[in-house]
Amino acid sequence: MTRTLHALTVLVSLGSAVLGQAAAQSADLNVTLYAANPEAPAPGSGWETADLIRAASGANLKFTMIPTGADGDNKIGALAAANSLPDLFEIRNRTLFYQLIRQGQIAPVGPLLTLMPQRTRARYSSTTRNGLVNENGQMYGLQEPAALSRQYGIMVRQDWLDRLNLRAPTTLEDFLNVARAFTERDPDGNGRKDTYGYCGVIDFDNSGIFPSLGLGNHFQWIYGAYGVPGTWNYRNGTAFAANLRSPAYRQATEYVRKLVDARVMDPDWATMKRSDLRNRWQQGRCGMFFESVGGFNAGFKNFDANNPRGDATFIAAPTGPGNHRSMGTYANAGTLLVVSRKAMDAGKGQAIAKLLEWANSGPGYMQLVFGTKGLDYTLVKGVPTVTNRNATERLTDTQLKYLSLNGSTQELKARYATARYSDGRSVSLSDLLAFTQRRNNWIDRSGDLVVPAAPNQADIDRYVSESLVQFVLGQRPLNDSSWKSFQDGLNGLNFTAYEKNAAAALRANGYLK
Amino acid sequence: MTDVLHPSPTAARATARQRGLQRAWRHRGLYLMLLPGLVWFVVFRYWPLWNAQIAFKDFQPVQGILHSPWVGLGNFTQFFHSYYFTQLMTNTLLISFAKLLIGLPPAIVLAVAIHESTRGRLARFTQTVTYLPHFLSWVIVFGILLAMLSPSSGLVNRGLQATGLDPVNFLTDPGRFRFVVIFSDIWKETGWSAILFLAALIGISPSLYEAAEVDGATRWQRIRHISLPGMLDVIVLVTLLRLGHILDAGFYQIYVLYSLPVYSVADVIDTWVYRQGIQNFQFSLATAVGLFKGLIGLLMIVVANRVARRYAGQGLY
Repeated sequence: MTRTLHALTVLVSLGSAVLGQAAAQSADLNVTLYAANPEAPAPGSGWETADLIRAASGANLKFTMIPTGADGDNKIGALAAANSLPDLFEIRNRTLFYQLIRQGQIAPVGPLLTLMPQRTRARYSSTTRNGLVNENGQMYGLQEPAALSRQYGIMVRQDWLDRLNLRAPTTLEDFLNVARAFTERDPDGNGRKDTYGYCGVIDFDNSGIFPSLGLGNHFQWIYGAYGVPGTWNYRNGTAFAANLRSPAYRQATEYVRKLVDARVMDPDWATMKRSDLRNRWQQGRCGMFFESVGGFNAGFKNFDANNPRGDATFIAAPTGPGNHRSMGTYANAGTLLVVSRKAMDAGKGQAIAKLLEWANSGPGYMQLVFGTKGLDYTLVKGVPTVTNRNATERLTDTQLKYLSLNGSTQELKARYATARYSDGRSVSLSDLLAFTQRRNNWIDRSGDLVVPAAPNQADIDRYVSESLVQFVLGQRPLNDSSWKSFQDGLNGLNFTAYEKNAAAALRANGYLK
Repeated sequence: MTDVLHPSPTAARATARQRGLQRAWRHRGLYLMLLPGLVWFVVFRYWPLWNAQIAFKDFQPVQGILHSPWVGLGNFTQFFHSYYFTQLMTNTLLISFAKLLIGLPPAIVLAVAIHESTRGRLARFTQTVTYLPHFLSWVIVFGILLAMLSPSSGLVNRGLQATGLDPVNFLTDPGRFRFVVIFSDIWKETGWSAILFLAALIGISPSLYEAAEVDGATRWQRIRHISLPGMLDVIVLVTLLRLGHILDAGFYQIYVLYSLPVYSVADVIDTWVYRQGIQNFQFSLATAVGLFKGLIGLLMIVVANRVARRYAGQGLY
């Protein structure tokens, strides 16, 4: 009897162990990332990559793709409010990141580092970069080094320049003159006054460029030409302050007003969305416009169809007084991956580490970044080259690539291949990217990532942006007394405390001496 | 002393309860039909009230609603002390009251016009055409407005330019933006609002109109003395219900239409809550403002109901 009981106990134990292992192996791993290829859908069932991930990490991948921008941030915020965060997810909104730390919803990732030695060595060995995700001595995120930043710039219609016998502008003065010619001298030759010199919108998207207080990304190059791009001026040392305190900031605003008064900008600029802007340059209504390489690639076919012999290319950021020039500011940090505390408590840390290690290099890296070998890409002299497969299917296959990107040249060449006009001309998108990244004097403001949001951040953002728009639209005079009144108004928003907190955070993290 | 004619209070209560139950059983079909509605109210209206306590807490999802720390009226104070509080209240009330006062008459007029029309086909066509915009999303309406009002390519501005006038940027001019908001709302919703009034008109006995016609009443007199009084109940009802939502100035509409140049005249409580509460993840603050709006709405309904009962002889309850 005793022997039988012992045998039963052993059997039950063995069964439990096997079941436990099976349960562990079949555990779901919820991964949520911003859309890597928004133009393509999320992968469906039967995705080969999911099978490979199951083999590599022992977990069933449940992948959710969220939209970029505020909609995606809100989605993560809503999941957090419902205490239903995914196991592993990407986070772009730093306010939310710090809030989740404070609320204890995300776990320190230190214990994962030893479980993925190769990835840690390759990606998480920079003390400075890791400092961007440290809080109270703990590392709360996996800050990827590869940033697909600085892909924006001013594009110009080279064919219009040629037609009007003009040279690409290099200074602010040139810019206004060329913009005026594009507006008034019928550059498309259709006999109608339906073109504008410059098209930009008020946009604060934070992918690829750091949005600053004020008029947003599409006008930062003007503030850059006056030496005050971005929100903060790191160079002032102990006199650290927001750029908008500088007299140069007012001069830059006056230049924007000059563009508005000269009527060389699309008059809908203050109400248009980015999609409206894209429609307009594709329709051939903009002589110069602010765009990213990715955005140009997405609209290239329409542009080519609407503008036979059309030719658009980047120009370098125009130079302003004092020889300043910069297209804007950026963060030298890429994707931020975080792990929810629930996932860590549920013992999913090991599976997450296995997945990330697999995604770091070798077959896993190639699968996530380039897709399935032979189907999505082939190796030509060691360089992954996309096949003729339907682009949407290829892009769907690589929706998880934010787990893998390392910023190598071959990645960029695969993403930004060559675009061909219908008349046989071609343009290398990776060359365009290289141009805008290298020739625009972008300013590294990675430190902005550690600046805490003010409790009334939305009011501060509104006050500054609204005031500047009123100045440039002429709804408010732009003179000494109105500018002083604008500066004085900051006191009512406790702006000085915001500046002080920014300075303290930047000093604490070594960004300010 | 109790007898058959004077039963004891306990016995009387038991009898009344029994009668009530018998009555309920007799009308069980009706009660059954009522049940889904009641369940809906309990689940989606009353149960969330329990969660509204996060308005008084620093909501921590990990700790749950019950265990999040109390902050008293801190979230309310943050809203009341916000830099734009006065402007937000002014904009919200102005836009809301304007939509109510300017938007209601066209719906009444449209309902009366359709009701008075002797051409059935034309009336039905008009009704369909006027309520179709209700089904358009505000994003589509924004596209239509941009096509109409854009200073670069809008139809209206092309017309202005053709007559030698300067183009007007209706969507960025603070002096004109509220008109765009109010009149686009009227254009979109008048047909839909008219349905209720039309239903009230159809409910009026035709014999009243026939008798008035026999007595020689003109069409205007019939409208004034039969149609409008016949609609009064519904007009009061609609007004009271709308007053309950007086601090909802139309989030979707404003959010889609507004832009930085017109924030000073267009930013309303809900858009502020979206930016400060939702986009900055201050959910307790967002709930506090929601609760505040609800209380003001309740107060408005109670006061307006009393006023309506006193002066119009009609009320919601």
